[in-house]
Amino acid sequence: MILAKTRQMELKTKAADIRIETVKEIGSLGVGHIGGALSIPDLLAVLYWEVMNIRPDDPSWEERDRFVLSKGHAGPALYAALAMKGYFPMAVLDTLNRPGTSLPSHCDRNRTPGIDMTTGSLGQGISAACGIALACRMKGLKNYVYAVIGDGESQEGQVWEAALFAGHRNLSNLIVFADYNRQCLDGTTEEICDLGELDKKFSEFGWYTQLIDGNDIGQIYTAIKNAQAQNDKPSMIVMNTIKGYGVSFWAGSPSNHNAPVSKEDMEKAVQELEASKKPGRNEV
Amino acid sequence: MIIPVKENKLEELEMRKVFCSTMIELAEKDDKVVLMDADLMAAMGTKPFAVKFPERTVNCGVQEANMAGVAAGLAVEGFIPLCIRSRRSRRAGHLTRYGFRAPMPRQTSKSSEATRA
Repeated sequence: MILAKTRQMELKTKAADIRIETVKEIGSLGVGHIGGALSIPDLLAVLYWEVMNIRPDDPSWEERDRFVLSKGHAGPALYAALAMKGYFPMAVLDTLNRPGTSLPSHCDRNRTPGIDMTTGSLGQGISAACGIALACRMKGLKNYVYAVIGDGESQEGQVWEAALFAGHRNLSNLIVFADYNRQCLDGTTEEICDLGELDKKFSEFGWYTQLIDGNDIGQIYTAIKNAQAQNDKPSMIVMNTIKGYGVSFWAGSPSNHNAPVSKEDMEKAVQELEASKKPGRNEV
Repeated sequence: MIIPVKENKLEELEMRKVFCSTMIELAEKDDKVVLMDADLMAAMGTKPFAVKFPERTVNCGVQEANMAGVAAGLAVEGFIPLCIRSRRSRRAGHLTRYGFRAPMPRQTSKSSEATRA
């Protein structure tokens, strides 16, 4: 299933807006996980504005689709999307990771409306997503559970326990994305602990897998629709992404995992992202 | 039902039998109770629970870390999962961020020595 070009353009603009808000959140704080947060806004735009069945005015609505950001350090990007959807006022974004905030650097379901699972301890989110998917199935719900894992996170043994579990139990209501930007904190995943072909590994674990460009709105949408058409396997969508995507001086930079963001960086980045929204302009 | 020790005499009923019957009792009272295990049901004597409530038994296989995470997922959806873990599954007890924690088995210096021997 293909998403209309005009809608793709709208969602691309939405993704740029998520990036702008993310940069402002982290920029006003002065430091944060800017690289990994900028990997996923294209996915967030497709999920929150096109695919997911949600009610921002009723975050605990039983029938809703669930979302687990297992790479919880990308929280600021998700907070931007949630605020833009109306889960809480945009002004709350200015409180990121400050004392008393409802927006900690890593996701916390007890503090933030719209966050379905507490994450940040790498490897645990995908297990929790399996539990949520199992619970939804036990309750007879017809919803989907979406989750995002990091590539560095996939070095955790627990990810593979969860992969076996979901494959064995045919959790077809579970759709997981791997943000394969090939960078973890101390270097590339290839240098630190190579993951190889993630899609093939998950296939071996009994998942329906797809390999896509994770910064391409159209490919993300089509992959989700393909995943939803499966009725006997969990889905893994491996997204080749660029860490820091959308901002030229961060994109692919080796030191963008948890980095200082100066006021000047913030202004330059916002300017560049604003310009990318103009028709005909190619993004970085 | 918990049977107290009387007159300093040990109760003869096996702990695992009491455990399983208590689990069944809890599950009969509350349809949200789920029993989770990591391939130790035969050793822990919980098979009668699985026979009675197959849809509320989740045997994860030998993967205690994932079992604790799956339990967290079930719990946020309103279920009451009880994880059974043995000495081999210490890591599961480290999972505290979700707000629940099973007690860590204490290893006395005496038993440590016995293990080493």
